[in-house]
Amino acid sequence: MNQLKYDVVVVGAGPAGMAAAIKAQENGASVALLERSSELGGILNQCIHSGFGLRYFKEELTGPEYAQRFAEQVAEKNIDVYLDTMVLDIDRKRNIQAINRDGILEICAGAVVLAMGCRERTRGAVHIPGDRPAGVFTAGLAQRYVNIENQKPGTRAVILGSGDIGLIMARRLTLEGIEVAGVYELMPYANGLYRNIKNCLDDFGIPLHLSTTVTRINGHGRVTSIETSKVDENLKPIPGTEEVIPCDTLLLSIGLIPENELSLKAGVTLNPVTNGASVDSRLQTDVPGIFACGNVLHVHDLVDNVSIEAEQAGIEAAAFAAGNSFTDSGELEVRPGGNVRYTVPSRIEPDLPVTMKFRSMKPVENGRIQIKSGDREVYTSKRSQKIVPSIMQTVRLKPSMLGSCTEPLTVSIVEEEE
Amino acid sequence: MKDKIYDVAVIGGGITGTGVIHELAKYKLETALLERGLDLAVGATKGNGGVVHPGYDPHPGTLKAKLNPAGARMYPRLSKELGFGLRRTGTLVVAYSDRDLKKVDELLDNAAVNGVEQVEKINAAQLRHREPHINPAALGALLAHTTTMIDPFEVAIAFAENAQDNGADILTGQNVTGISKEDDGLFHITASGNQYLARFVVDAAGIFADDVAAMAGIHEYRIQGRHGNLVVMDKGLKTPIQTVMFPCPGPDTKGIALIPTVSGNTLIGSTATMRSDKNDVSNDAEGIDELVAGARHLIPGADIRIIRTFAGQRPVALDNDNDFYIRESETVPGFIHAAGIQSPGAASSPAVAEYVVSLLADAGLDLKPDPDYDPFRQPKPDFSTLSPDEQDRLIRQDPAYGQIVCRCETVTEGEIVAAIREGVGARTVEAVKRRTRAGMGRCQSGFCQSRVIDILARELGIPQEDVRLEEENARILYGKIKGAV
Amino acid sequence: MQIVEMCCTTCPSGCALHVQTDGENVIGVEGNGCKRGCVFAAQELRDPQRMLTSTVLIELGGKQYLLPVKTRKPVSMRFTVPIMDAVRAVKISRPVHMGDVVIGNAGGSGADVVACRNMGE
Repeated sequence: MNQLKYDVVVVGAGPAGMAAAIKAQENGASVALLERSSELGGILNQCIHSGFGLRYFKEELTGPEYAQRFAEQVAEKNIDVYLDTMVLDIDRKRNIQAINRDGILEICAGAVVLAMGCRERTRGAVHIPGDRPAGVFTAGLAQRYVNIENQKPGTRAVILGSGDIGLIMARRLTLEGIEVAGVYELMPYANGLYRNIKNCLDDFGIPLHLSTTVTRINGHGRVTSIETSKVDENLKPIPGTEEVIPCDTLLLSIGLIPENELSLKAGVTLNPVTNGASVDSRLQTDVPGIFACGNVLHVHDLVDNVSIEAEQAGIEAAAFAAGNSFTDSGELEVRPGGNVRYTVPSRIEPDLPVTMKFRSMKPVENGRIQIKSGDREVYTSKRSQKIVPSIMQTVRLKPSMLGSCTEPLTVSIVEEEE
Repeated sequence: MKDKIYDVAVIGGGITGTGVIHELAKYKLETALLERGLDLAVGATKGNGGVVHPGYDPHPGTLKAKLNPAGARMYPRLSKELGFGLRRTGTLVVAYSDRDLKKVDELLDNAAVNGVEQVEKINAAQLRHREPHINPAALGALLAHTTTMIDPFEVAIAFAENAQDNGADILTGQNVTGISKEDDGLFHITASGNQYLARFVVDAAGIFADDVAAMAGIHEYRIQGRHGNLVVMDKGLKTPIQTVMFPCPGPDTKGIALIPTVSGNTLIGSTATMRSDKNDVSNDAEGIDELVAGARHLIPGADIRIIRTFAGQRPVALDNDNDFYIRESETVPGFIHAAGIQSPGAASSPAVAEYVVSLLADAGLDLKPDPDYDPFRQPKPDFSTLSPDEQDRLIRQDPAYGQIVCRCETVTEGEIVAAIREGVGARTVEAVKRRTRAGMGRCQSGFCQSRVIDILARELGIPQEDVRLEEENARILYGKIKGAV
Repeated sequence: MQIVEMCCTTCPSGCALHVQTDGENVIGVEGNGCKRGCVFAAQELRDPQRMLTSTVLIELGGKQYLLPVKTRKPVSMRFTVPIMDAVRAVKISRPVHMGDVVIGNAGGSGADVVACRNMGE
């Protein structure tokens, strides 16, 4: 068995892992970057559409371009990259067991950055009734077939879920000669970004059906049709509204779940809402020296935000590995308040600056963000704005704003009359 | 193939048919198993909960009462010989009322008559001690200690592979469309364009057994399907269970059970409604709601995280007192019905096989033990269960074991290649899944499906678009996006 | 004068624009979070432009892969079909760098189609 030792070991070389590894190395750490697939970049390699990098690089890039910019930096730096290497186990003392074609690697890490990303929810998670034929794909798997594997996953598709991947795939399939009959969304509003609805659906005349879901899959062998139904305000199908749509393919874009099997093995506590680790201001989990960032921590809206978050994790991990003592100023819990689904971090140290990230539960036209510690107001946004669940909200808090707080913070979105 | 005369042709590669061919392999015989699917165990055997009931349930005097306890007792030995997973869980039949408690007493009596040991009645406190999450309204239960769990498809494949190692022909993709007994005294069987000759036929075609019999001009019984929905839940539930749990049974079925499987997932199964369409193994929303309600009846606060739903049809022989239908045809000698193998079919299978072979002997088949018969199946490495040292050694022998394909279940390329090359080799994505668990985890093959297709295409020497999910018409891909000819 | 509602797609914010127009020219824009909204509205009314992304076939070492490509700049949607035809017709058999021109003046759009990553080095 190969035995290795690094200051910082980063698990996953997608956008989060690459950014964390680069920053950890720049901050003096010896770094290993472990990636289970055969190249750097993660899911960005199959996201060939544009729209990435506007915030981080101030220009619009495709996924592969965004990935390559980081991959080039990884290559320039003294970072040991292990491709086709899968981590099987991590313990609380940061001993890592990984596997690749050379055998088992045992790695002793000064600090660990978890950057495994997320996976897609499947048919089973929403248990759509009906037959179980071939032709039901998660949108990401179909994207891999179309953009990487050069394989046609079908000839006429229906898409369930208006998440961004589903919308992007509606356009990709149409451009590559696969007909898209329509996109169906359970909720009364679209889940993806507005611009994707416009550029991916409206531009191509693909209908978006809100408050509608797939209630049955038909077909022996291969999908031959699906049945859709309108849903009521409790999201239950309304009898009598069934429609049968002939198609051979059903794509599911019904949500992402952080991939935290390894985190659990390491004893990390998860936040039940995000399914990601519960972290502090430093993005450190409740296991000392294990940090988390990117979509394994919480599902992000934009890769740019993943990179920015991961850079902090890399810096903090390098500091931990260097033995910089983390001051223990006591922690404040952070709780989601009105119309806030979750917050990251879920606990903070008041003497550190922190970026609060959170999402709303439902869209509001005129919302104001309010952060309180007990009755004390810590932050209120200056103007009200449209706030939607598909866009992650961020608020930067300085120690001066938090200094004397002793009660848990509550983050709320307050709706105002126009 | 026309020249070769088989002593016995078994039609149907489910747990019944494979059990029979496995039992026949002990004798000096030429045997063939004809399965219409591209893999074994694609009918009722895969739409099954996998509980090896110890046999306290069937009415004394029935075939079920005879074969279920006998079959269940054979499983521990078979598991060692054939290398399939077996987990001893025990069964609880939970009582909520005085009437239920009376039913428990009846089952205890039944168990005694059927010769089932290690069955007892426990009180509410004992029940809660064993299963802390159980419904507080439960008054007590029957506890059958010897219940085990199997993956029925794993057992069927193991049966067939051992039979193949001992000389049997296991032929998949052979859809029987014609059978006639000719003047030469042989059965002439047409299947997917091939002709097979056999002295005896065992009809183990599950839900279609009566249709197969009809091809031979036999109309002695009819089969209808009792459809059941099942759901698979994630591993690591917050309300884990150790024991298979049933409510007290109804007249036809055992009710909705919580089932801790061999692989560590928990199943809820199953509903029971008669269906006229034998091909209908679809799930229905009402059925799934019924399962969830059934699970909550046993564990009110159950953590229910479903990762997959599936369904099956149990073959029920009509007008047969809900019993198995196993006998030689009254009109066509040498044709053996192994039909109506509904629940507890998986548990009974090894005993059904012995019984069928005894019927063949009664019908004139000469059974000479084969001195070269080897009861042991060569096990294939199961990477995720090895120690790190063993894993390291395996990778150094074959680096394909260092390439993880399915992340959720830690399945390596080496295991997938072995599943395709060895034994009754996998030809489809689902066949790979049944042999290796690749795609069975919580991502449900979202990450590994394309890799599995690549490996199948490479190993079988076919283009990716010719790889099937399960059935011949279960096409996954439609050719190249760019550069198609 | 008429009001046209549109969603600005310049950045992920996706501002909902209320555009006043006389049919040809933009008279006023409301709802835009920044100046780019006005530029977008004018272009969108006159001749909508999009960056088009796809893949082209690339053969390296006897194996075929897909190379992700894009138009170097947004192009009029009138050219979507001719550009896709050009993208489907091309096959590369040499290593490429990110930014390399794969198809010059694709489909007569005036925009080059360029590689979005290195491949084969």
